Amino acid sequence: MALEHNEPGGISSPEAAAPADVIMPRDTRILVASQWQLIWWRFRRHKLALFSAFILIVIYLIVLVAEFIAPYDPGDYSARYTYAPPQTLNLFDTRDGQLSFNSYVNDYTVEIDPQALRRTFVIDPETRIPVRFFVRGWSYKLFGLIETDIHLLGPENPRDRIFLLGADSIGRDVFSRMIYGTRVSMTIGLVGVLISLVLGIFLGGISGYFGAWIDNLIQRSIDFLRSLPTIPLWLGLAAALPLSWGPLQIYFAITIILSLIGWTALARVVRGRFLSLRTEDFVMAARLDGASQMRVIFEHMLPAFYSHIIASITLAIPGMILAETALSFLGLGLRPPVVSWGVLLQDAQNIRSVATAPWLLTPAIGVIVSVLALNFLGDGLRDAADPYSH
Amino acid sequence: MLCAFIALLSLSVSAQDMTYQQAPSLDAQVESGELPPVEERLPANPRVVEPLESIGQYGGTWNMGTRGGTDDAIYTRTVAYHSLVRWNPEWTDIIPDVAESFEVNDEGNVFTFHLREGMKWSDGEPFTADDILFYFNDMLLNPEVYPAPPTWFQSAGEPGVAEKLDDYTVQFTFSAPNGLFIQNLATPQQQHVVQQPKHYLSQFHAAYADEDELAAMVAEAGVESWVDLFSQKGAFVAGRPDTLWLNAELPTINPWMLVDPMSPSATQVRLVRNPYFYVVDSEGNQLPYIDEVIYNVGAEVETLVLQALNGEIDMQDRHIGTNANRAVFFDNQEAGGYHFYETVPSSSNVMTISLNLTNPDPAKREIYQNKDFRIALSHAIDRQEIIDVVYVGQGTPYQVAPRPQSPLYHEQLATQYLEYDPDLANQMLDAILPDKDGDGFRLMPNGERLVIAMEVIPTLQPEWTGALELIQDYWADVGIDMQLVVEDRTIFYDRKLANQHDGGIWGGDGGLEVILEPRWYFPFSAESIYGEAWQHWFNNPNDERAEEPPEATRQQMDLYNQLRSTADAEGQNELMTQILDIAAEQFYVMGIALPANGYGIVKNNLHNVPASILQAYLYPSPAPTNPETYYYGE
Amino acid sequence: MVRFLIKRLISLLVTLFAVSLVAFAIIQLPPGDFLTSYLTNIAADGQTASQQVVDRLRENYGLDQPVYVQYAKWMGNILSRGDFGQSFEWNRPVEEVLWSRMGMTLTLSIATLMLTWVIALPIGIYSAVKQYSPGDYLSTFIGFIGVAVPDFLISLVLMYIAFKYFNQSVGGLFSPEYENAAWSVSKVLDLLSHLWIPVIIIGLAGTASLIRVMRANLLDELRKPYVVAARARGLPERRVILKYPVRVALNPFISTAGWVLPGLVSGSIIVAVVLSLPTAGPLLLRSLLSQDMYLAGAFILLLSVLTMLGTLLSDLLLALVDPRIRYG
Repeated sequence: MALEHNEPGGISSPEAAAPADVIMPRDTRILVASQWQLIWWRFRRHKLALFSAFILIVIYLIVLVAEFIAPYDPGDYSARYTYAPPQTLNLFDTRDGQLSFNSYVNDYTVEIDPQALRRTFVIDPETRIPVRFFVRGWSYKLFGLIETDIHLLGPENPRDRIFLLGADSIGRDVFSRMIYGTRVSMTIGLVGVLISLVLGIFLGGISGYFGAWIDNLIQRSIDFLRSLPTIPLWLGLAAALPLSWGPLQIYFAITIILSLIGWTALARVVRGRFLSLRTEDFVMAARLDGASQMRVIFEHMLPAFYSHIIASITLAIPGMILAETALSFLGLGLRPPVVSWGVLLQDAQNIRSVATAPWLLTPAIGVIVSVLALNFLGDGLRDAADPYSH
Repeated sequence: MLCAFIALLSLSVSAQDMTYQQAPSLDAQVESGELPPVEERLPANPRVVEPLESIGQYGGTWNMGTRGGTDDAIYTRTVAYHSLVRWNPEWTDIIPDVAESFEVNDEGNVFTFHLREGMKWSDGEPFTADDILFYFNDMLLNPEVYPAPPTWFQSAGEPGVAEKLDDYTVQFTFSAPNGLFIQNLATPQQQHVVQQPKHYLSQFHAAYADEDELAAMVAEAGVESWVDLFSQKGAFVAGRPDTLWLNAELPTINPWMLVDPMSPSATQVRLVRNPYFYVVDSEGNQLPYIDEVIYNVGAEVETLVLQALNGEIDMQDRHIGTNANRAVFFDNQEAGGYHFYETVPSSSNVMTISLNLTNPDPAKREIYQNKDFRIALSHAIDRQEIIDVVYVGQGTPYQVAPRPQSPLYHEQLATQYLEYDPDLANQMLDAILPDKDGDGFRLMPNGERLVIAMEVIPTLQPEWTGALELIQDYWADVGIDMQLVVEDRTIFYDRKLANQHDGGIWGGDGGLEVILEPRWYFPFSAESIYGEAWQHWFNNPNDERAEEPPEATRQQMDLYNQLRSTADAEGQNELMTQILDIAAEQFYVMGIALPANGYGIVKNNLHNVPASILQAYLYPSPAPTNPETYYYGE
Repeated sequence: MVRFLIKRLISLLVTLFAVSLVAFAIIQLPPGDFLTSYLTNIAADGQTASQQVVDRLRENYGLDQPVYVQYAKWMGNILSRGDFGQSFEWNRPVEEVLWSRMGMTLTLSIATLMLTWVIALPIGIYSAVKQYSPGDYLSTFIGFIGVAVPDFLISLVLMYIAFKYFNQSVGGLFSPEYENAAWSVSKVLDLLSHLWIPVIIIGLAGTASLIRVMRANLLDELRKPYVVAARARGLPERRVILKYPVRVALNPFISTAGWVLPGLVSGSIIVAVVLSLPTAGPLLLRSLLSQDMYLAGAFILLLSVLTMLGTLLSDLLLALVDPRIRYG
């Protein structure tokens, strides 16, 4: 999207000043608004992006207070509840014909079927396991600092087990694990994205601005890096890293290496932009003003497409989230006891789960929602961040 | 599993008095003269097999699923299990197969096999002693094909001598008694003895083929040497993936012969009836009953599972018959038209936990080699809970030892240190590693925390990771930090061979086939994870990775070498029991539970399939249950 | 123009050389080699091979040589004789193994490509024209679902649904009875019944980025003065949009079509693996996991060449269209 500067309302346009005693019509507010305000107004029009932003705020809140929300420690297993189906949380009790407020779930009756080798769980509507909000449960450190044991919701009696999203193959609560998985999955890619960002802007900018042999060299390097097929690289790296590293460390290492390759996409875009921008008037004006090369690049040209940058980041994160799940599928990503969506989906990747325990697939919903939200948000940002393109 | 050396006379005289019938699908070819009549196609004395349930009907196609590539074991397990001798279906005895009878002399070093006169390859050429000798003399003893003669064909370090006494008699002579020779011949790896037709393969063998012609063929095939071409044509060259089903032109003696071979682009491997198959049923009908065999090549296990649910696979337990899938298969029986058969595992344990006793890290080595350390770890495990959680209550706590039904059952080795007693464990560990760090984990004498890196391949058996996570907790309770290291097969294998591993998980081989597979009872092969350096010493003392083991272990090795030279079963069992005694004393590895019986699925209309089938590698199920007698009825 | 082309070709060769080095390094990275991989596989069955045999074989295959010697041999063979070596696992020349799967890979790739375009272009156009409308949201949502759902999971789920609710035979590209049968109408129908799952999954996955590009480009074009002029002249809306802006908006999109080439080969490896399709993707994965050195190496080289050709093509197209870039 071209940045057009020949329209009224540019960055510093003298015609924008209006007499103070004239009530400004709505349209002319645009003339005096700052760049960021324009972006915000534009962004608001994209309803889907707005909604997505809201969703993402909720998700990152969950990331912050995962321990508070999760009723159980994600590693807590239970022999008696393997593959238990989800229990619905009821808020109103109609026992004895009376309607009362009582949050609870129904317990199961369990039978073991030796022929089919499974436990059959039947929800027993007569039983009640009371569920309370802001209940005491296992203790943890909120934000890593405050020691507490209050959880958003959980069984009134800590020895009871509730499974809002069912249990997995060794009886762990899927709901708790999914909450914890959110934390790892939504944050694991951020470092890599940042590195890609820095490299992309820096190298792409230099390449586009200076042109000539620098451009050539960087372009050829980009070509080279893009020709390397990712899956073989993943496999080779994962195999070569020292085993003594914890799974989280290994994953970090892989994402960092991947981002060292992934900066190429952003670099190409930045380069393209710089190529067209460097002939613009305002650049020449800045040079004439005496600004150094670096200053011109970073203080004048770059702001022209913050929008692109922000949009690129937002669009790169879902790539990382999906890459994490794909790597787990290949056996290269995070592994137990780390809990991430990719790890959880690995447990679900078999016919047994799809056919008889579909609740194990709910982490996929987390992936879908967050990836969609990030994509729409990025689209909205990109649309909005070129306020001058109208 | 017992192994009795029976000098058998010719099989039932009635075989020679029978009139023979053939499959109707062959009638047209015999009429037109393409094929000789059935009496001429069968040997004078065909092998007679009594079908399990009933005489069968001719016809039908047997559908199976395979993963492709190097998953060729399924071929041996169904179609290609025919050698000089074979196991009987109950795995208690060895019976003649291609050979109609065999004798062993009293000292146990001369073996004579009588072949069946008139037996032919699938292309009509006679099957004679020449074919057997071709394998032994031109392949096994040819260093280009086989870098070193295999251990089963050696005794006292020297390879045996194979001689032809006449067209239908072969004799093997060893310099010292070769106690396990006959048993080894019945294992699936030794099927090649009778699968290498001289008249066909010699065209590609440097010693027989014209030099220029061979060179031309090598160039045309785009390979480097004649051995590569030889291997491509179906010859078994050491260390290469088995090529038995890669070449449709290779003559065979199996019940079915290849029409569409396996290849990189193959999605189906197809075989049709072999009109020269040398086996008949008890009424003289030439086997097999089934007309065609098809292997559907699919890469992924879950795809095979769906195909099985859909009724597209007629009989299978390999790959799909897991504990996890049982519920799904159970639910779908009626719709899929199949039912379960039972598989009886020969495995001694659901998982074997090995600490590397020859650890390159001397500090760890000292700790691991302390038997009390291992005993404590064993007492710290709540086996019943693992059985309940991971194995849905199936199985009983057990160490790594011969199964109860084995004649070599050893109570001490099987039941020692099984009680869940974390207090006792803590007590014992306090005596060895008293210091703990801030998190409660024990420190080694040098002040570092002891971390056991337990390597495991999760794809082999999914239950292992679940169980290991539980064990991680149990050991943490007694102050031991165990880390799960989940890795791919190749990495696991390589680290093991290079003796870089700290600890490893594997299955329990050798629960029934104790003598032939003693890897967990003393450091026998590269599979003895707990003592790689010692097993190198056992197999090749000059290997740079070899280390001399402690005295008790050396004693075991001596006993086993003696066993190899012992001719009779009783003597072998006695020596093996002594080895097991020492194994119980040494307590090299620990186990969790005796595996419960498994299952396989079989279509309702496939008959003569046993309801219960043994499962092992050395007993390549279901082949010893005579698949050539399976048939499709109602 | 010709000078530009020659310069690019030279740099392509240099890059290819660099890639071959990296490719070989990647294959050698994991510890062990094909023999250990093979041994592990048979060990999982309970089989063993004697150590002497293994050591002697390692010698024969040249696997005990230092890495640079192996590399030199490999490159030497390729450059001098066009010999890419033997696949250890299949016991056949690498070229044979690679080509045997190409037919199916191409079929699948072309089918999914067509689906992607058919879905993405209309949605892209619609969402640009009717920006911010509910229809825009809905169609972009559909387009983006393809990207958001983890492909390995949806493949398994769709396979299960096909089996359970449509009673289809799943896995591979044909049902067992049609595998080796002659081509007929029913065989084609059978192929379609197997193709729909991978085509939908892979096709949908590609739509998101295409929609985005289409939308962005078209939005740019639609704001240009000539569009306003056309509208003012009274041209019907459809012609205003389709006649010129769409075609111009397609230009940059066509140049990015060069990236399609490597996709043809690796064709969404993960989906192909889960669905057990006989395409190149699963073969590549296998060869990497089992360290089938020459096969994996040839694959990586092939993918890289295709990527570079794709870049070259897209740059060429771009240069053809925009003279500034040629001389910049």
